[in-house]
Amino acid sequence: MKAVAISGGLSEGSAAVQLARAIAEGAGADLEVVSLRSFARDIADALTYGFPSARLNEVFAKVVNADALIAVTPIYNALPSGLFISFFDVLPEGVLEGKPVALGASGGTPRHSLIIEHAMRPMFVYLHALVPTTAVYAATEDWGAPGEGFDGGSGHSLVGRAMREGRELRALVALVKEESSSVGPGPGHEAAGAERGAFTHDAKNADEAAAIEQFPDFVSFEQLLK
Amino acid sequence: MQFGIFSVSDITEDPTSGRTPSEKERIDAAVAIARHAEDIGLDVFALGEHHNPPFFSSSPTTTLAYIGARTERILLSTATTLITTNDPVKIAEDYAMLQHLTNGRVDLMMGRGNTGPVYPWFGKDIRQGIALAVENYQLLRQLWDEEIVNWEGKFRTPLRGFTSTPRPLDGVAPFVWHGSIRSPEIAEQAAYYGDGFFHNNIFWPASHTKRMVALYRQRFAHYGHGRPEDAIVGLGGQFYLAKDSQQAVREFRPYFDVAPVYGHGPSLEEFMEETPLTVGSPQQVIDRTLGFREVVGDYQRQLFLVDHAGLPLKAVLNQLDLFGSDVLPVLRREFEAKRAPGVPEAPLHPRLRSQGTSWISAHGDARTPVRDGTRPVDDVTGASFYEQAPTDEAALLHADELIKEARGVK
Repeated sequence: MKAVAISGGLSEGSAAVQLARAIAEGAGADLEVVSLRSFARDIADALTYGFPSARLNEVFAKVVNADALIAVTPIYNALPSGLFISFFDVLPEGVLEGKPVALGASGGTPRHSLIIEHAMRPMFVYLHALVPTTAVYAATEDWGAPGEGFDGGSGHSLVGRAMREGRELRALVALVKEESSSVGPGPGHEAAGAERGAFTHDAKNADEAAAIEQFPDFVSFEQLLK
Repeated sequence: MQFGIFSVSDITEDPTSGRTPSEKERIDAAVAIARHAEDIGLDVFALGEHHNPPFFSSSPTTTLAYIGARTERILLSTATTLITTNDPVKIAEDYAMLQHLTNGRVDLMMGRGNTGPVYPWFGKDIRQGIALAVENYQLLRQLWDEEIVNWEGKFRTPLRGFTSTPRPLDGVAPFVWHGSIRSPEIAEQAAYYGDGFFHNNIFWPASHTKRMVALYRQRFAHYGHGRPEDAIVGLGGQFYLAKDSQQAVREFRPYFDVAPVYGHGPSLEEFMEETPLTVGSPQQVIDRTLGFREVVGDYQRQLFLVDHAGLPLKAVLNQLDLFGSDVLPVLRREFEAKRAPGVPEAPLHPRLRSQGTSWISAHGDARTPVRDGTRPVDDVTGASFYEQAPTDEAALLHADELIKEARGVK
């Protein structure tokens, strides 16, 4: 299974990326890490231009082709990093529909540990991603600092939770594969897929079919007139 | 191939002087730019429609009629006419009126408008944007193509026995383009009716323009209007010209960097890479524009945005002078030489065709239907409940018959 980590962390060895690696390990997935830091300008330009640069499009293609996504971000000012949210603002509509997406966040204090539930899960549910019930938040002490009063003494608990999230992610990927082999398109795609099939039939030759294929939400004019 | 300019009608501060033109100055400038466009030999002047600051053009037909009176041959068009928030009855009336006043020098481009708050100002809902564009345009076609319209729809009161006046000049409605940036529905609409499709690509990369135009061409053929290459395609573009590219960049960068539509994002160089914007020498503008043809195939109309980024009137007129002398003649020659045989020109009103206006190529245009000599309504009263004879001669013969009948001569 192929997983892509989208990290809002600002360094390659950031805590968010470490978290993503632990989740991927639990899932038994090959992981490719995309650090949004390298695309900060592209994301800002996509917001102002209205269309993505060629290199940002390559990242979108990676997301589309991945079996699963691991979305991780540091928490700044009690919210996910703005860069992280902006990436999903410019990601084309529908890309995450029916896609398993594991969530993780890192922060300096355990007081933000519910931030995934409050600020991240609603966005991914809105985008119709399939999100595991477990989502791991890692405060500094969870990594193994001898923080008194926390159970993360050696980081075992944190890694254990990340591994569990990874297993849940793997189960979702298996579910999606099973679904798509039995009914064709993945969950949530049945209606759209059926309609698209009809319109492709509407095409009179291969050139026309290819032109229509460029627009996943194409609706023929006869339909529009109704 | 038609070449022209289009204006969004924005009133923007000149960042180099810090001065913002008044509405009066900017409106006068638009008229001066349109007249100058004719002087340098351009074919089309198109004007936008907006109902909020910082734009002036809320009433395009008023402006275009005035420009029409001050010009001789340039074609007047829109960029765009809001098919969503305007009443189709008013569009039918206004543009048929403009046709009569300008002797047929009119076509128009339909657009939905992308300013959300405008919809409720006109009693409409932006979420219905596509549905409004579909229903309203269907009604507009009926109003122009049929004498007596009985109509009922979702978005306006029904019409019973309504005749839109004046009727389209000589029974030929203005040619319609459908402008769209990203909605395949609008490409599909243009294809369905066999109308023109204008892709406003000024902020978009070529790959997107290519797929939008390809969809329109294929669907144009699907609906039986001809081959994909017979479809009528228009593109946007924008430039800043100087004798050499260093001078062009030096002069335009201060405008680009702070202009509301360009600045504070990607650099001028990046923007030129990703979009049609060309800041450079005449040869660069020529090469870039000819390159559009490689992306979409032979096309019929190229409109440039020239009065952008807060450039003062004087600079815009200079741009047009340089374009007219160093770019336009080469573009005309090269596009003509490259064009595949049999590709049509954009349809024109028959009156312009017969005048042999400069932009009509030897290829002619066989697509606009002409209702030669028909007299759909009484010329004197403007309306009639009686069936009208198709020609004067037929009317006289018919009258003779009636007289003979009345006299008992059979």
